[in-house]
Amino acid sequence: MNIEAQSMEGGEDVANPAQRVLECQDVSRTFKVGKKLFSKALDLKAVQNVSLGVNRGEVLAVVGESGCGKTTLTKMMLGLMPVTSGEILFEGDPISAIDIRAIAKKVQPVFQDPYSSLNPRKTLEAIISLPMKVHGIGTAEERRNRVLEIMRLVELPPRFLHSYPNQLSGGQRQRVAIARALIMNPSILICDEPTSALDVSVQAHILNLLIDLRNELNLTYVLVSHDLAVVELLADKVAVMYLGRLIEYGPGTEIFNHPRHPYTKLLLESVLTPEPGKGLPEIALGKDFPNPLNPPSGCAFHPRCTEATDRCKAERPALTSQNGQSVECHLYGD
Amino acid sequence: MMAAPEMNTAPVETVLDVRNLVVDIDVPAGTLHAVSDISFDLKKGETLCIVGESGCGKSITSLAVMNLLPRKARMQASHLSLEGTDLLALSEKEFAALRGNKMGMIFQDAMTSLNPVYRVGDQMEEVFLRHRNGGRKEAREKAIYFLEKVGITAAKSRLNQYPHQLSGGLRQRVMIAMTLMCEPAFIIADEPTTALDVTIQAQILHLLSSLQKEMNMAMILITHDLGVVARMADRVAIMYAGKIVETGACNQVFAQPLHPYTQGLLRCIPVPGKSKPGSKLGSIKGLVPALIGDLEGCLFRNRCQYLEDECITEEVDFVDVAEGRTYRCLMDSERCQANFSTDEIGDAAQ
Repeated sequence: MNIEAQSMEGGEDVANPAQRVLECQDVSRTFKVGKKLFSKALDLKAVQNVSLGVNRGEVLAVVGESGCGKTTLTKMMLGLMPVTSGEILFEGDPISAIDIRAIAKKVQPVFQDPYSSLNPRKTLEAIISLPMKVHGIGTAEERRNRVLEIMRLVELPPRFLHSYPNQLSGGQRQRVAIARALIMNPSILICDEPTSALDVSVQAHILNLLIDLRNELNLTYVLVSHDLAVVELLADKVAVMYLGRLIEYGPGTEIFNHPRHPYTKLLLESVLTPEPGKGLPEIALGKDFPNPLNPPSGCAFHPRCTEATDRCKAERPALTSQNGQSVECHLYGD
Repeated sequence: MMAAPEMNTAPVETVLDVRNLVVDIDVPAGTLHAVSDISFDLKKGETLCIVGESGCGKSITSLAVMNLLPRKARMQASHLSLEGTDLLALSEKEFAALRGNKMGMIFQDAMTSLNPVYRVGDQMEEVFLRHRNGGRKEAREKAIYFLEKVGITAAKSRLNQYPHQLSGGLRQRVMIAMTLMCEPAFIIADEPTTALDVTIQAQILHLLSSLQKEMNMAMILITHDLGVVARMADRVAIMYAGKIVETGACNQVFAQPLHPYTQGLLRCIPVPGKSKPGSKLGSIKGLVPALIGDLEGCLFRNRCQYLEDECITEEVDFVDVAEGRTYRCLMDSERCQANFSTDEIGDAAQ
C-alpha cells in the first residue's frame, strides 16, 4: 500500500519523511445509511481511495462542491472519525495507533462559523485556555500568561481577557478560535472554511493573520474552502475532490495556471473576478449533483462533463501523474 | 449614455424611486440609525447592486421598500414610488396586493424561506391565486411554465415534491420561479447565491440576468461579493453604516473608486491570477461604528487613513462627479482619484 501511495504521488518530492506532517494513504470512508426494518443499509462512499500528504510549513487546500467529502476527510485527519480502509499517518505514525489526546495536541481545527464554535457562557480566557486545562498543563497563573501571549500573537487586545464572545465582532471571534487552536503549539491546523462566514474586510484581516502565523511559527495548514481566490492566495498544494474521489492533485501554481481535469477547469471558470464587463461565465454543467448513494458508472464526473466519451461511462480512469500533478481522467495518461 | 430623467417628471422609465429613506429602530440603548437618508432610483431592465458589509443597512433598505420592516422599526421617506404608485400612501392591505404581484423578493436561504410542509407546487400556485383571477388549472400551468423557465427538468413531477427533497441549487431555482409567477416589474434579490457552490452560483446568476433581460425587470441585487457585483450590476451603490457612500455605473466604480471605503474594499479581496500566492492583502483597519444615538461627521472616519479634523464635525454631503456618479467624502475628486490605482486591486497592500 505504501508503494502504491507513493507512486500515486508521482514526481512530488517526498525526500525527507520527517518533513511530512500528515499523510493520507489510500483513505476511504463508507457510511451505512438508510437502514430500515426490512431494507438493507446502503453504502455511501464519502471518501474513496484518497492519497495525499502535506509537508511542514505547507498549505494544502481541499476544494470541491458541497457533498464531495472534504469535511469527512478533515474529520478523519483530526482523528475524530475512524477510516474504513487505508491509513492516515501523522509524522510517520498511523493516527489510529496514537492516543486521541496526543493527536489533539498536535492537530487542531478552526471551524467555519465563529458564532457557533465558541461557548457563549465562557470568557475568552476560559475558552482559549481550555485545551491546556484538558491536558493538565501549567498552573492557573501559567495558563493565563500563555493565553495573553497567544492573544498578542493573533492580535487580540489583552483587555478582552474577561470578555464573552457576544461582545466581539465576527473577525475577533475567529481570532479567538485561532488562538484556542494555537495554544497547544500544534504542528498542523485544519481550517474548515475559516473565512466564509466573515465580511470582505474582515476576511482580509484573518487571511493576513494566517499568512503571518505560518511564516512566524512554520505552521502547516490543511485549508478546506470553496473560495478559489482564497485558495490560490494561500495554498501550496491543491486537492480537488469530486464525489469522494481525488480527481486532481498538485502544486497550486500548476493547478491554477494549467488545470487539467475538466471539473477543475469548470471550477476555475466559475470564479467571478471583480472585472466588470466580462459578463457571467457559461457553465456547461448539468443541473444536478449526482446522488452519492448511486454514483454514475465509470468516471463519476461523466454525466456533467463536456468531453465525456463512451470510455468514460464504462471505465473508471486511473490516477496518472506528470510533473507532480496527478489527475484522474481518461483525457490524460495512456 | 441615456440622459437620466428628472426624478418627478418621467415616471414611465423609472420603476422604483426612493428619496430620503430613513429607518430608525428603537433599542434599549437608544435609537439605532439603521438607514439614514438614502435615495436611489431604478429603471426598467436595470440592475442596481447594493454592496456593503453586515450591518450596513442593505437588507433593511430592501425590507423598507417591501414594507416588511419589523414593527419596532420606524420608516420615513420623502418619496417612495413604484411605477408611479405612491407606496407611502398605501394601506397595509393595498400593499399586500402589490407584494408578490408587482414586486418580488428572492431571499438568501431558500431552505428557510420555503414552507417545509407544503409541496413546491402548492406554494407556487398560491402566489398566482392570491393576485390573479385565474383558477387552479391556470396556476398549475403557470407554475410548470416558470419551473421550466428556470431550467428545472421534469417540472411537473417537481410540483409534488417538498422543499427538503430538492438540492440547494434547485430550491433557489424554485424561489426564483415563485417570484416570477406574477411577472413582477421589480425584484429584490438579497444575497441570492451566498449559500451555494461556485458552480451553482454562476448558473443561478446567469439565469437571473437572462430572465431579467427577457422580462425587462428592474432588479436590486444585494451582495457583499464584489465578483458578483462586477459581473451583474449596471449601477452600484456602496453602503457603509446606513448611508450610501458612493454610486456610479459599475465599470466606473471598479475602474476608479473614489470613496476611501470603496478603495479599501477593492484592496481587500484576493483576485485569482493577480494576487501573488502568499502575499498579504490590503485591509481596512478598525471596526464599523455603533449606529446608536446622535451621529455626526463622516462615519467612516475612524477607519479612514485620510482623516482630518473636519471629518469629525462637518456633515459630509455627496459630491457629484458626473451624471449618476457621486461619492460622499470631504476630499475633492482629484485627490480621491490619486489615492488609488487599479493595479492595487487584489495586489499586496501598501
